[in-house]
Amino acid sequence: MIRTRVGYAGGDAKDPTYRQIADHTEVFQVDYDPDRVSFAKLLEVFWSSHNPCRAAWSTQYQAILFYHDEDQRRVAEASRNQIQAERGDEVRTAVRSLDRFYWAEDYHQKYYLRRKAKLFAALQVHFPDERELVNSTAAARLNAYCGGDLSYARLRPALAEVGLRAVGEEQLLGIEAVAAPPADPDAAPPGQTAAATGAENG
Amino acid sequence: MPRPSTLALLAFLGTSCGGTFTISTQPPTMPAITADTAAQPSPLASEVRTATFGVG
Repeated sequence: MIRTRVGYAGGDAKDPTYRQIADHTEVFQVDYDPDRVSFAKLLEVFWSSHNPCRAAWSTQYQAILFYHDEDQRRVAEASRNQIQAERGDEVRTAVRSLDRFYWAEDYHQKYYLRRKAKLFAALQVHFPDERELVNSTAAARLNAYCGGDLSYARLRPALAEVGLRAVGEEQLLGIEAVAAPPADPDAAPPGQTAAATGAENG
Repeated sequence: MPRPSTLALLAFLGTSCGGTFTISTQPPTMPAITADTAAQPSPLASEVRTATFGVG
């Protein structure tokens, strides 16, 4: 996993927001290196992260898989058919072409990292531009760590890969993993899952 | 070796006539992370692809 972000997709309404999401769905998007992790592998995680035979609660909170090109469409539909055969039940998770992805508001991005104000501020020194910070691999790794999806042992070399190093080790180790979602639904990040936090699966 | 004055002793113990104060033994706050060179937005990859999901 190289980069992650959360946002809205699937609807026709222009420029959706959390308050005006209209006909869009909350989604997360990942950039990945196909030499390190295949789309099929990502789909394994996706199918195992929800019950694909359950009807959606709403358009906003539905399970949905967007393919970006013909290759992804072929792999996505094959995996859906396989899941359906294995379960012997109708798969209700939608599989569709991605038309357009809209970024969610800043306060939804890198949600677990953002809650660690000092750590987030430290990263802002290196990435003054908010969008660049959110879109950095370093932020994806740190967000995964803060969300409890990445161990400190795996965080350290991952930071080195992106030109950062841990200095305040005690400060980092003092971060308690935040596994439970917030109680306030308004504060919940769109599409926040283990994959969306930037956990290194590949 | 000169004996510490009463005032210095009080200071050492963290008290004074005017009230109390704290002698901090905490080191200056260290940043959690720093950049080795310039922080890279993302590591180089020969090809980057994107996937988009919703999980309800």
